Amino acid sequence: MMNTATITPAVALHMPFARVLRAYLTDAKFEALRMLRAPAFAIPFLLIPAPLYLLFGVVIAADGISKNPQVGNYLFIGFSVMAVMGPALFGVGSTLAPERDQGLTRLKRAQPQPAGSYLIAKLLMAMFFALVVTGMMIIAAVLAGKITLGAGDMAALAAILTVGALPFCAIGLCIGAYFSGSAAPGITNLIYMPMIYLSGLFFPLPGFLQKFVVIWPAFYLQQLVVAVTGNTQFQFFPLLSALTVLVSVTVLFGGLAIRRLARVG
Amino acid sequence: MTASIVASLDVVTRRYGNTVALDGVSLDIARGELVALLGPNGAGKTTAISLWLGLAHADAGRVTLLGGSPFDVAQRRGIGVMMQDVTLTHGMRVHELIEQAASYYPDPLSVADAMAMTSTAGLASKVYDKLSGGQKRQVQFALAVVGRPSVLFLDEPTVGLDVQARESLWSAIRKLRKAGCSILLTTHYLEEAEALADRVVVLARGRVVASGSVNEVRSIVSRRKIRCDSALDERELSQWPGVIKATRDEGRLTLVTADAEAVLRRLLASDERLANLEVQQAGLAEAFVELTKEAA
Repeated sequence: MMNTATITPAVALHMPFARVLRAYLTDAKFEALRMLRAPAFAIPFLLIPAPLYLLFGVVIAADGISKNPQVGNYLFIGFSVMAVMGPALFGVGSTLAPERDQGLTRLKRAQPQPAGSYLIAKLLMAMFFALVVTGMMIIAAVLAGKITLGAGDMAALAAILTVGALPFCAIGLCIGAYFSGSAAPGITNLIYMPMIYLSGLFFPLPGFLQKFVVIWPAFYLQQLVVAVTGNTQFQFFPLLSALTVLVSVTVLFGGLAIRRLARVG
Repeated sequence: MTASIVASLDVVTRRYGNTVALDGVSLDIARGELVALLGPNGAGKTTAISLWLGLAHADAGRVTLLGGSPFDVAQRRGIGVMMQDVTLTHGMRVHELIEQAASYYPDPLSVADAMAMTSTAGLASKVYDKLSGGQKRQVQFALAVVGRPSVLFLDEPTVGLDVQARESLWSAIRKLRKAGCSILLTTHYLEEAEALADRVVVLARGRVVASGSVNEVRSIVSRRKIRCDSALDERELSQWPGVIKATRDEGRLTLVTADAEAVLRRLLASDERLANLEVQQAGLAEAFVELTKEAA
């Protein structure tokens, strides 16, 4: 049983910085942990991308790669970009929307959860998934031996793709902030599915579609990695411009989402 | 504001569209006091709590929490909260949920102590989603108390609890209050207010219609009811001192009175043929119904 001393109300409302930081980290840790535990999320987004790459980017594309090694790198980069999009879009948007519906965001606001911790936890979760899935892609690619990227390129790719999850997180936040829990997964698919194919991640698109790759953020993330890893043959967009677009997408969608959440919770 | 007031609404009005949810409500919670907020659905109970939790702005008046604004996270570090209709984070175990809530506070209880206090130790490694409705409420209570709050807001805390769980929650609430925690609880269970509260505040249609100890609130309205068969004129009776209301329903007379003994003496003296006399002491339940009827 409890003794009275331990339930005496605390008086200090001040919280040392170290404890506040720990609160942010605790939120992020549990967000990642519970998503790892959800088979419907972890299996498609962590375990599927590497086998998918091995099938389409290695086995089926073997002829093309033997003629031009940069094709192998291009496919690897494309599948890696796809792999980080999923957890960012679905892991953020499709959890935020139902949690708003079910009163959790209200409870978190009433509790003394540090400012923004709820959303930051989701972003860090998505970046963690991005890092893990990129790691698995790298292992698969090294084992399959169809890429010519060096260790430095691999490290750069992992870093860019981990941070590169953020623009997709921002879009996910926006979907989660504006749509209900039942609508959010559908809306996310409406963006995710076309973006995978229409941003030219895996093969050059036919002429008239080619022009429209510029509307998809995935295209810019791919171009960023392509530029940094020196696959000049597939570079269609300058590095700095790609970076600018990605930052703008993050700020725009993130800003819209935060504005909406501040108003309606 | 005096130092002993931990939370107050000062002539607060809050509208939702054309609906006035709170209409000039003033309400203080003193240190160590347990206030039960009663009222029918839509009376404004949850709105009052939302203002104190920093979830809504008052359209007029002032909302104070621990001497500051509830929108300041530092003030909210002094509170614990159990809301209605909340689904906690999917896929987390009970001890994880408690650990997470504890991390928001400067000087929380240990997870083990919070679980011992709320009888949730047996649920520690269970996934929250798989618990029964009553168990979920207990876990939500653990989240509310883990921060060692000075003020605890409990919105319908015992809905869905079985008798044993309710008794255990009541006992935990009493212990917290004894230790100096101020508690505001809303409830539909009137015996809950009678069992726990120092003070009962009745809200109806956004206004405070009664406030006082359980006994005071009971006596404010409850008065007593006299029923009898009598030919006396109810309009005349309603003018008698001590009579608050006189009504007739198919020959049967009902008097609501603040002074049953005096009214009875006069009644019996005035009508020799008076029959089937009944005198009722209204419980809080009845007082409550009366109060809210009057406001309607």
